[in-house]
Amino acid sequence: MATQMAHRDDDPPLHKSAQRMRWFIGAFEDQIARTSRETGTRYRVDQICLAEVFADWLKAFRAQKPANSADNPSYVGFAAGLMLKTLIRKKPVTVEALPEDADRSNPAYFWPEGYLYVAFCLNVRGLVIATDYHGEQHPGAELSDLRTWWTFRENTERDAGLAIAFLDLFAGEEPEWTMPEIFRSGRMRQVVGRFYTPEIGDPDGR
Amino acid sequence: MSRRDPQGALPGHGALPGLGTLAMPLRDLLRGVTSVAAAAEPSRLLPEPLRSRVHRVFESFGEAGTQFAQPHADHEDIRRAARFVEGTETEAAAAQACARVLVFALDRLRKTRPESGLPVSETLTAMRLQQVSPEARSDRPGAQMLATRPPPAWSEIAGHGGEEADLALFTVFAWLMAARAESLPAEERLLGLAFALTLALREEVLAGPLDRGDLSAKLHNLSRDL
Repeated sequence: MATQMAHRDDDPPLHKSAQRMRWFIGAFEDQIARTSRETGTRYRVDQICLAEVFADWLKAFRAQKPANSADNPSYVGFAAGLMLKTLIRKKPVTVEALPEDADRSNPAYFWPEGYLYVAFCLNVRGLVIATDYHGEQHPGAELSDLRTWWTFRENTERDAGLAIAFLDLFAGEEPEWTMPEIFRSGRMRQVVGRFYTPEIGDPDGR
Repeated sequence: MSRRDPQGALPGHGALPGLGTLAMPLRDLLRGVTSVAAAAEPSRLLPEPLRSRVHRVFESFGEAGTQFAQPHADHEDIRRAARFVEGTETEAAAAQACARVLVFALDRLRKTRPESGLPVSETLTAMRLQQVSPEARSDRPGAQMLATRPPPAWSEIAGHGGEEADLALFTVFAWLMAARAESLPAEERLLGLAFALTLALREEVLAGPLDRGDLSAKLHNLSRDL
């Protein structure tokens, strides 16, 4: 799922560029080319639908953008999840052809569109974290586990919002399964943990 | 005695001069004749003998006429048009470049979505653009867009309430306000992206009154997201 989305030192911060349509379309096309090369799958893209994905994502992104800049790094992961949710809901890509020897037990062929969307969102997420916040992304083993992908596909077809939690899982982070569509800032997570964790996690409550 | 056209280029021998070397009114005329002929021929819209005469005129232009009817703009025209919309260049030549780019861009949009086509005279557009002088510079793009809208009668002819024409004009102004691309092909691609984004946001673009301030704010927002 590796990518080489280019970013030069004199470019604006990547998380800013990624909020522009020209960057989004370029990066998505780049991902399609790479995934097609790696898997042999041919995809077809509805450009108008892809523009709608970007417009919908941008609205959702701005609606919960944190006021505190300290929350920006964690918002990157959430924003990538919002993108995955929007891609799964709008379905801008369809498969034209799979390679003859496609192994359906491989996530790339079990759900080729979902695989492409996850690859794109994970790659952008990892790139922004590395470039703008000097962090690292360590994808979890679930990324290549077919049972997880089966659950992922079935659940997100019913509720696309769960894609946000699944992307956290694939990215090696702790997913927020309850109300995944609501961003919780770092401070809010701590507050929530202080008040509720003892009662829920430890019945003896200390 | 050699004959020099108003823009300073000499027509070549044995071949018609490129459309870019003709004066604006001539370009408008040629586009008008070819488009009327093209529209009239399949639908037999015009009565005889007018239809046959228009057809003969159209035939006399042949492929060259069709080719010359294609609006043209280069990368520098686009940069200059952008400066005119922004208000950093305001002289008549910049208004003319802006009109040329508008006709060029609208033609590109019409090819991808025929219902967005609208009649635009390069000459009249340049004149109207020069007359636009809003009190606030921030209102300039919206005021320019309002000045270049087709007449209300166009809505009835087109049969779609003029919304498609508004979306196309909105796209072109938002594109001109965006950060410039590095080449003409990249500019054309950016124009296509602007159109896709405008269509994706069509309800928001068309919502509310057509007020120059409101329009300018919407144009600014969309151009920023491009």
